[in-house]
Amino acid sequence: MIEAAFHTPHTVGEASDLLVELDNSALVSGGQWLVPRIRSHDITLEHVISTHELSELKGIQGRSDLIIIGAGETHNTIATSFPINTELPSLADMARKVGDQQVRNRGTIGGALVSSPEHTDYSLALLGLDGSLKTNKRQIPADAFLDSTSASKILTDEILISIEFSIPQFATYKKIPHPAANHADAGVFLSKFDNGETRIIVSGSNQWPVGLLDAELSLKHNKGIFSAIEKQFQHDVFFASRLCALLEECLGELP
Amino acid sequence: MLKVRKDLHGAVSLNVNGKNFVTYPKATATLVDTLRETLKLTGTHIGCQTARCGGCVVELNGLSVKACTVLTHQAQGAIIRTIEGVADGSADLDRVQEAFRQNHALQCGFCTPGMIMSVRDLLQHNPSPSEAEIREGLKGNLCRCTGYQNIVRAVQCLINNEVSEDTSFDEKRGIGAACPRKEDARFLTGKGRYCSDIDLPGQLHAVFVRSKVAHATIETVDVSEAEKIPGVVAVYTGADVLGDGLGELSCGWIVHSRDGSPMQGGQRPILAHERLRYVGDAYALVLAEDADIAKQAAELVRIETRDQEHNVDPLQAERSEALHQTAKQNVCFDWQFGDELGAKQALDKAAHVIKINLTNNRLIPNALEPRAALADFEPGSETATLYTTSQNPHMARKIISETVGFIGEHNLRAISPDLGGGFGSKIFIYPEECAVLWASRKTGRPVKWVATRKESFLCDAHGRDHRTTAELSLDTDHNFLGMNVQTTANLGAYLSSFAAFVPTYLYGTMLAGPYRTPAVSCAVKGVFTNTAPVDAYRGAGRPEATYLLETLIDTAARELGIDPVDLRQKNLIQPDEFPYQTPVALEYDSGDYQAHLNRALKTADYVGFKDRKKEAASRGYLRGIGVSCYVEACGIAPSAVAGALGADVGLWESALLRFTPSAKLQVFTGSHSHGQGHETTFAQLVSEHFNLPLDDIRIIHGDTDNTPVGMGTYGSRSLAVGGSAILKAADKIIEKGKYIAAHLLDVKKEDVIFEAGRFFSRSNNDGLALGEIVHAAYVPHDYPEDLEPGLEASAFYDPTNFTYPSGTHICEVEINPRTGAIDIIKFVAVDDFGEIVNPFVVEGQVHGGIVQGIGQALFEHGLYDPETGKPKTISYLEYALPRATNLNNILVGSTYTPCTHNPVGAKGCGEAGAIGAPPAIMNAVANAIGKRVEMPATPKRIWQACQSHQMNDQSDD
Repeated sequence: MIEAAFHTPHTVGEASDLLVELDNSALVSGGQWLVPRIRSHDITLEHVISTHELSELKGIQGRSDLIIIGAGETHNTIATSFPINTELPSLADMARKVGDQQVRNRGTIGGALVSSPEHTDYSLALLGLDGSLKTNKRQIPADAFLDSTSASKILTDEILISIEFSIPQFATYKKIPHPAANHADAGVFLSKFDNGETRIIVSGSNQWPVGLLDAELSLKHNKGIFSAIEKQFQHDVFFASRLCALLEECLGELP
Repeated sequence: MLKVRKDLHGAVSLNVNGKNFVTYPKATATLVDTLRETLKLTGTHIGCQTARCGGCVVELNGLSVKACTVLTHQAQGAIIRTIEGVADGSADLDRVQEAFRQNHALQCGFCTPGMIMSVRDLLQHNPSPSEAEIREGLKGNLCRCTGYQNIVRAVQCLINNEVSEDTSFDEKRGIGAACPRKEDARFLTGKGRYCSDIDLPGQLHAVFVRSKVAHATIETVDVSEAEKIPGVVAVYTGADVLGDGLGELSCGWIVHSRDGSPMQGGQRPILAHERLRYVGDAYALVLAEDADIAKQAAELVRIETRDQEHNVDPLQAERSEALHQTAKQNVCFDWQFGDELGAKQALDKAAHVIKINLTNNRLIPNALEPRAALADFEPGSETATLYTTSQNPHMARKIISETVGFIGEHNLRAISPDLGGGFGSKIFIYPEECAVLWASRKTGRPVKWVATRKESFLCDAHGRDHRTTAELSLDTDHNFLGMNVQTTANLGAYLSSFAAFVPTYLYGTMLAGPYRTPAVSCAVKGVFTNTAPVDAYRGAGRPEATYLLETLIDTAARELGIDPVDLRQKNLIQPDEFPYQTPVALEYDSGDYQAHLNRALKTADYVGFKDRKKEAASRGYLRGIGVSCYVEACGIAPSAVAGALGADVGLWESALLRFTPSAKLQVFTGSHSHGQGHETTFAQLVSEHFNLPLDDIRIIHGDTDNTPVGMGTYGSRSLAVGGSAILKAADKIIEKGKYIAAHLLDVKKEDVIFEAGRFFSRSNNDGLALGEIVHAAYVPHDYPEDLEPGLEASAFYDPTNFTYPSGTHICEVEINPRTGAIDIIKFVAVDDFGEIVNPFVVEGQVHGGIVQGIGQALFEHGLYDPETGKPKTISYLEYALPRATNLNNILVGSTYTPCTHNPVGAKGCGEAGAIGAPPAIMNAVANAIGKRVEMPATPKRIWQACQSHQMNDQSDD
């Protein structure tokens, strides 16, 4: 009979020591992914380490070209944050599309990215906004983190501290949610930067890792980008058709 | 050296509903566990434990959260409010609760506490939300009963300040009064008492060990490691079941094949001992001091098996390895019904023959309260009490006592308390309830089992799952001549309690629908597959028949190039043709099908549809309109007919009415409520009869030790059959009252009449109040010599015919051909339920039924992987139930022709929505796209149909 222990470290350093020294331990943040799995015995832990008291994981900072969000911030905090709604409204909008009100009240951006990067909407924003992840050990660029072939996943003894997004001139996110699980069955994130660079990130329907489309060449000729999508996803024409419909909506909002 | 705090069983202080508590939870205990088990705040419910159902929503530091996602230790120091702390004490209900009550925004009450917490959160952040924002705010909460419509309406009343301070409409009480429900106060405040809320001192927790493979023979089961876990009291296996001589569960309805032989196979052991027949088949039972220990020990039970070929596809069943020795080629029965020759002759002489193949998708019922059982065997008296989530506690008592064998029916007390929805899935007798009773006797302790949602997905009886080929033959004037139906019904791995009845007599007899079809032939093959057993789910057989018939008619109209409404109207049974003998055994007593069709067409603005279609097309969308007309059969009876068709039961209902000496009325009924509101509807019925206030009437059900033997609630039978028994008993009381009144008034009994709650003499105006008669009956000082004291009467009512509710449902959809997205723009339901006692309750039943129909048509599909035989839909992450955000308002109306043969005049309303809705939606989809799509019409299927149709279609409609 395994009887787990609960730990409440007060600094990232303490938490890191616990993670390293204790076998079969894991961090719990908003708990939306982990707690049901503990309860159903799909995951059996001997040590549950709370991020609750880790002030380093809190806070949202807006800089001139950057938004930095503590990994422990909830979806609803992001959705209602003044700097995010002012500087990066597409991210606030994305947060509002996560789960439901109760999940958003409790679930955190860090938890979503660490537990299920393949399902969270934030993965698209990470790629579309030149994002990066700061852990207690290193800074991981978005593309490395989201490349499923690389080993840049957050390690089991590593702690995600914050997530950075660069601020574009314009960005928007459209999503068709899975009817049961609510993750994106199809999602399109479109961003445009001051230097004219435009990015289109797509995800959903087992299309993992999220796809990055070379948008620059084709945005001038709208036809081009749609046929690019159809070509890239020719094995799943339905998915491609949905992406095209979402992209059209995104492009319609482009100033 | 670690210096941080480590809480193995550390203290957690919580402020809950204004009171401070200190608890010592396990590190892995969740907040919902602590609230329910430690603090006994059982108003917070567990429906899924995966953050998807919202049954456990509470307020944590002012924010609504799902308590199943919060470890109690994470809530250290938090301020928590649960449903029990919502009303501030100045009134019984707060505004949100009152709005729910006044708008009939709850039925079974299981989701209600979580729903109320979510509404509070919504209004706190957005005091005047739009309808879309309200629906978004409810997105995290599943409700399987209301279709969300009245919940949305309750919130709209709140924001428009339309919650009435004046509760005088509570005084409305008789037949036809839309009064709020008597049961609501307890459900709204978290005081409902569901099976899982009940604990007994010294109880053990049961966890079943279930097959992970679809088909295998068992070689050995090793429980030695599991038994070693401290806290484990016993581990039982199929061998113990055999050793103790327990019986097997079988189907209570015997169907015969066309060759006259009775159905074969399907007997279900209490724990599997020789063969595992589907994923979820239980083969061991762990009993431990707490549920967590039992779960851990269950993982240590080792089983050695030899894999057998599995099959989950009903059409492959005959070519697959047999599940049951006696059922050759997996065929349980090969049933033939109706006029085979006539239907063939009709085909031969027809001008047109329309043929379709269709699938009726497998559904998983998903009552939000998972099944649970708590058994307490008392060795001294050799009696036992079984708390069970049953729609039919008397039948549970009978079958369970017979199956376990060690206890007589008279020594077993089955109590079914408040039920969190059922929809059919809680009619049946499952192995688990038998097993916990047996385990309680073996261990000498009470034994409790509460299903997880995953177990509900795996093991609750599923519904539907038909594959059908059908032909409709028409003459040159488009009159129906005959119909020929061949169906393969997937029965699953075992025969559930009524499994053989549903795809045969509840299906074949409904194939005439509301139309004149001279010859109907129906052949049904019931087959075993390595899937969960299939049995009655809301509608049971009738939705399958209606979907088939209405699809066939729409296909005919499309192929013949005529309006589907015209084709229906041409063939509808006309009002002057009742009673109408159908070619499939039923005699419809009353109805006016044209009346509800006309009303529905008008409400839906059928005539104006073309313009709307054109307008949608201009935006690049496809609009479609679909009609379905149905007639169904409820209140299955009379018993003799049911018996002739193979039933092992009678289908009457019982009632006992007892006036207490202070003239309050207790009404005991053998039916049971799992959200239907019997405590109100039945009270209204007798209130009207006796002119008594509702508060003076109490409806009592669900306890076999204090209710007359009854047949439970299913098949929309409670009011038509149970209500009739109540009226019959009420009449007996009035008769006796007349004797007493005649004596006291010194007149002849024949001269006494009972009116408006008083006994009058015809010869003069003297009268006695009902209360005075009751008093005389219990204080019989001046009393007729030959009359017994007391005032109570019981009655059994066996109907002379089924009842036949009917209706027309019309659905209008809009489809985005690029994404396959579908939006139900409008849904109109006009139904004829005969007499309506409480319009609120009926409207709620219709909403809920339709939304389950929408679920079948657009979202729900119980799937198995043919390669592995494993189920693919085992949680709310895979199986989509309709949520508030998926729906728009439904327009409900009614027409009226009373049932001619029961004293209430009622026909039944519980299943109508689930019967009428799927074909209306699917016909609308086909109308939009120009071709049929199988259910569920997922975006992918719709999109694919749009693609292939665009390529083939030259016409531009």
